[in-house]
Amino acid sequence: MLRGKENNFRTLILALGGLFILIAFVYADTSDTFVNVYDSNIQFIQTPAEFPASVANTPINQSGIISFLATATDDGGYKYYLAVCKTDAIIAGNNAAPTCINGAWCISNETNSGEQASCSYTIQSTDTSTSYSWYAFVCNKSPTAICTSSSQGSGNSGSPFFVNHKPTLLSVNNDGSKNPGESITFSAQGSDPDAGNSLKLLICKTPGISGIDCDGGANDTYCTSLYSGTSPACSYDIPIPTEDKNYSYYAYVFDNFNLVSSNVISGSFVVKNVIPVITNISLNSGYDISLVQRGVTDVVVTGTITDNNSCADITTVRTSFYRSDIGFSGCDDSSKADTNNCYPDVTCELMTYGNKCDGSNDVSANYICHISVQYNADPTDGNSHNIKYYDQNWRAVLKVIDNNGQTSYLEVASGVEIMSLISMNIQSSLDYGAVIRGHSTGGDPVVLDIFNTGNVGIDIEIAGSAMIGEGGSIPVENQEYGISYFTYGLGTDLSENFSEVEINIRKTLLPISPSIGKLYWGIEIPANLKAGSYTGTNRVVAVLGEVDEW
Amino acid sequence: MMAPKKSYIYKFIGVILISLLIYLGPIVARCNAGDSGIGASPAYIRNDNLLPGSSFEEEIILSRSNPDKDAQAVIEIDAKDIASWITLNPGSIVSLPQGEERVSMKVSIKVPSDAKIGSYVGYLRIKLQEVSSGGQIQVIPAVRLDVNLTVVNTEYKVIKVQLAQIYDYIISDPLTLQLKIKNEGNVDAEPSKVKVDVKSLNNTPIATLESTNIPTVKAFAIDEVTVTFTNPGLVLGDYFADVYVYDGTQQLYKDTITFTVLGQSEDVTITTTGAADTTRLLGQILVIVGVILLIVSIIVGLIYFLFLKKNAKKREGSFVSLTGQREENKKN
Repeated sequence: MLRGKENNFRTLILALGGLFILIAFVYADTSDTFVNVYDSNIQFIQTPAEFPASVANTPINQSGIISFLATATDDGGYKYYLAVCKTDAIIAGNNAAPTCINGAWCISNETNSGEQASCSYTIQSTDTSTSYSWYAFVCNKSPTAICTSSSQGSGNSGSPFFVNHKPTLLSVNNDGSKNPGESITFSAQGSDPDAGNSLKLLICKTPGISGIDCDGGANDTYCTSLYSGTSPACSYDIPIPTEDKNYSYYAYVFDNFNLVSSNVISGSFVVKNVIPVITNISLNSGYDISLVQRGVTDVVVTGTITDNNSCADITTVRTSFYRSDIGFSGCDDSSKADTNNCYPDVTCELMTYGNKCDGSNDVSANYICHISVQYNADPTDGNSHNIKYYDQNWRAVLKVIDNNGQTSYLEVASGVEIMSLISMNIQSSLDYGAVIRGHSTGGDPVVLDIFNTGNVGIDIEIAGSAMIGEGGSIPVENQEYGISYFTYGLGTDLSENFSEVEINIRKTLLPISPSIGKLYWGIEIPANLKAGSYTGTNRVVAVLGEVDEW
Repeated sequence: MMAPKKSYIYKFIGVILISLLIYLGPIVARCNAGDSGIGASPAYIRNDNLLPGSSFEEEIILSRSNPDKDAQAVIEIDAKDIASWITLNPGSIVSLPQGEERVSMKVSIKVPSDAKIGSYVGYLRIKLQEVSSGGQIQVIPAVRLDVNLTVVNTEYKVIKVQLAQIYDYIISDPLTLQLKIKNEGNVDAEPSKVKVDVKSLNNTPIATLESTNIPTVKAFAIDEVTVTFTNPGLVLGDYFADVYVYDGTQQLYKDTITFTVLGQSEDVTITTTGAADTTRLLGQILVIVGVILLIVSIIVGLIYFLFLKKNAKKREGSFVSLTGQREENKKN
């Protein structure tokens, strides 16, 4: 019996040994690879494809997404996974997603048999190659999951997919300070890791882009270049008006697949201050000026000031008004004021209608200046026979200062005349007082002051009439006159006809103090004249004096 | 030490006096300058280049610095040989209304077609006729305009451009250049050519416009003429224009003008400034200031005396008592 148990034990050992040897033979044929067990029950019914399809000239941009699509069916009705691996190696997962042995681009969610599966991959910055191969598998989700053999798709949507990498902006320069109306050019230097790419330069006013444009749109954009190698450039026409100051800019480059550089370079450029321009100067609207006797005449000067930095840049506008021989240099300062020939540094004002200054977006404005011209301002009409400065005229200069202290001047294109004004003021009555008949005023003549209230030298004419009263009349020739003190009998007899008197009242030089001429009067009363009041009329006429005696 | 009451009184009187000085000062000065006066501008009528049959007109501005009442200017023609050549407008009597410092009159000269070559003289006497202020002798002020005319048989052309303007215009309209031209010659005349160089505001040349179609200005006259450029081809915006006016090869005038080409919906604003025709009298301003100060001084003074009098009386009472005490002390 013991021998029977020993035989059974030997038989068992032999059987196990043989089984062991059998197993050894089996595994002795394998190497380091795993055995892929294919289940012929899952299969592609739609070839895997990239979406979007990428080829060399339509790559996927860095940070972009590439998707993979495929459709499969499983005879057992199991759900499946689409796995896109980096190599042709995968392990099915029992009731789980498969595993790409050397890494996956992506693996889809479980998908019903017969429905399309998809998965996506975001291109990373570490994906520095130009193209990457992919191997697509479908694996069912079963307790004993199996995968198909790989497929690399076909055509443009097949493996590999192509990657476009971001360019780098190395530097940006501009060609210096500009005036409004000029063009500033921005030049960039960039680099691109993808051979053959061209770069486009975008210059924004504020940081930030939206797509391939500045995020503020056209109003936020200085300029955009064409695609041009690695040295793109673009120009910006500085509009008029543009304020003089520093302007910031933000530069980006895009490659020809509209992939923006990873960096932005900021800088600034200067719009320079320009000198204001004076135009449309009008002096008294081009008309000659007639003054008012012993008064002030308002003479108006207008002009247009254009500043390409904007009319708001203008701080001061003044005018000087002068006789032409004096010139602006002789009338450019208030210390040179002379009512005869120079009205300097009169402040002008912005006009409140018409071409006003509407702020920093407006380029020009009209100004108006009021000059109070005195009655004694030198006349410039006439000729050498009658007017001293007949060969001159009156001119005006507009002077403009902007907020940078830049100054410009312009004289009116055509001067105007100040017309001669002949005028006098005189007391309206002459009283001899009480004179005894048969007597005269003797050595006590009555004085009549004659004030020259024009702008020329004057002489006078005199004529008179008999004095009439209740007792008769006093003949006109009983009155005598003279331009200096006289005793009656030594003066000039008054006449009913005009007689010119060379009193030579000079041209007034100070308006508050008119030149004065004195006319002395005396009278003799006829001895037989009845006592009473007697009245008459004497005429004193101002006449233009000789030029040499002004 | 001055008693407080008296110091206030002296101060009040001082303010009144100052006010009176300001108020009356110009009046006194005016009195010193004479009670009446009249001026005429220009001071002559002269033309050295009249052709037989020609005519011209001279505007005379009559002025009074103190037009405080109505008056008249009476014009007398004293010109034996040429009195018939002279016409006065509005006539030999010109109203000088109260408040009007300047009144215009016109003297027209028409030379007969058979007038002989030579010089002619005469006078216009313009006397001021006001209501007599009384007195033994009424003194009538007047001015005399010397009339000197020369009839020649030579044509004489002299034109001057006083002003050029281009008004803003709507883009569909023509560009209009307005010239103010003074013809100092004795024949009707006009410039031969105008040229307008249009530039952008940064002085980039845009277009050059030329015209020889310029209206004529009559002899001895000043007139505004218009030169029109149709279809100048300018887009909307602001421009500079260098305007040149020629007489033959001689450049008469050059100026730079700014103008704007407007869109259809924009208003065209034409800004013109008239010739100076207003006057100011510093004296009138001083008068107003003086009156105001005078009134204020009177009111302040009244307030002082009415409302502060009580306090003054109290202080006076003490003075009286002090004075009385002193008086009593003296008696004692």
